[in-house]
Amino acid sequence: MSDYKAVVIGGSAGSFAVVLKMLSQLRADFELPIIICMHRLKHIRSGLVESLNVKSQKEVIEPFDKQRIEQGKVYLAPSNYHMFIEFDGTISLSVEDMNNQSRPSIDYTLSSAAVAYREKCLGIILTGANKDGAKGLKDIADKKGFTIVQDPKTADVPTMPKAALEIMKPDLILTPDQITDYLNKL
Amino acid sequence: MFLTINDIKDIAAKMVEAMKIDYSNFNFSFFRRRLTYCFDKLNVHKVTEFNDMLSDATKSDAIAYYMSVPATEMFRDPAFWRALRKRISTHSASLRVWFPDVVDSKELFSLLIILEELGLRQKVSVVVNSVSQIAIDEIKSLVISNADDEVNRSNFERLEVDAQYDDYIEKNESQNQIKLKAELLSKVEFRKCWFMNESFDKFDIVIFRNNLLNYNKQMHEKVMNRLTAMLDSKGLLAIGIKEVPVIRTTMFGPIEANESIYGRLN
Repeated sequence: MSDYKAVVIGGSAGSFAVVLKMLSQLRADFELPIIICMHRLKHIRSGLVESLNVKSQKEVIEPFDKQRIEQGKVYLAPSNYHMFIEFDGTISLSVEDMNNQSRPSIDYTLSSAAVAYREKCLGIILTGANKDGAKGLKDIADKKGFTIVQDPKTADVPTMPKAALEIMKPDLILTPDQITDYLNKL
Repeated sequence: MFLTINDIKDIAAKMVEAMKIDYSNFNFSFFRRRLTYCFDKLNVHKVTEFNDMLSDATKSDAIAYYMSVPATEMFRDPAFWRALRKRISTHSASLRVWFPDVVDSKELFSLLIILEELGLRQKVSVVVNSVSQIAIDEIKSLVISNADDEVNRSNFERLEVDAQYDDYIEKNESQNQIKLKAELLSKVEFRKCWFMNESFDKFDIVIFRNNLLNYNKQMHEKVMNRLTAMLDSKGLLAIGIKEVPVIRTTMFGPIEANESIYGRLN
């Protein structure tokens, strides 16, 4: 397995289908924890994680506060909570102000992962309708982590990947299928 | 402003001493974010300047205000409020409700409107603790943010009550302001102090949602012990739906697990 400690993914409009396909095509023995922050409707608590679990190769969990991050699990930011990665390998949640009109904020999840995992963080930005996540991905790159941006030409809504590309140079720009292939080769 | 780990630890120690609130046992990354937010809001650029503010009662109150996290909206998690309403509606006797640590009116007024809908508001006494006089004055002003109007309404509709949200608010278009009805506060008592420092009579319901998120594990356990000790027989404790209570007693357990309503089992 790779030297990475976790894969951290951010996405918004259009990203559900990308993440669903990715999780369904991931090899069953993929060991790294996958931490996903997707913009979602804040008044709908259930449904998203259940939908992902229908096809995912890995168990998808909406974590509780202070829950320990485990190998081989997928963590999805709960509705209306920010999700942070802590140094001690746990997840913390927060109801602080929205960031980029978003709670959960992708920037918050990615930036905290950048600090916690440094060069052992693999960050991915997918399709989305605002700039949330761009700064977080840059933070991962600044800490020498590995970064991938979905090719804007393949994005349902290219605003988010384009925002990332405007402020940083990722290691790779890939289509969704290529991202899955990359992860499966780790 | 960038704060080093040593800066943050030093500030926390000074805040504990000056404000009698145990910030040293808040979740460290939360405390750092909140401190940065506080520096920004108070336009502070030096640690020494911040430390000096701690000895000024008015400025210290403002620090406590900005360190606290407001609730996100009224009737957050409508299913929780529906479940609580059902529990309260079975009580025939008078009730005592405690909000141990609030910095805004959203959770308080959500409960008061539920009680009004049940026709129980006059039978329920509510005690509200806050670490900040600014927060208490804001709550008493009855003004709520225009920015939250849409989500408040949307959540209210999910309560499935006969009343309309507009029954409880007064709009002042000229001032672009929304105010809640003043009579809602008639049975509410406010106390300015950190809830861990004061003694009370016991309560039937304690509402403490999404505050445990802010603490480290030691503080989380200490606070849970305090809150459960404050519950009367058959009392209920409401915490956030993504908070897991650390409990070392079999006398306390889930009542509505999906909505994070716990209770004394004796």
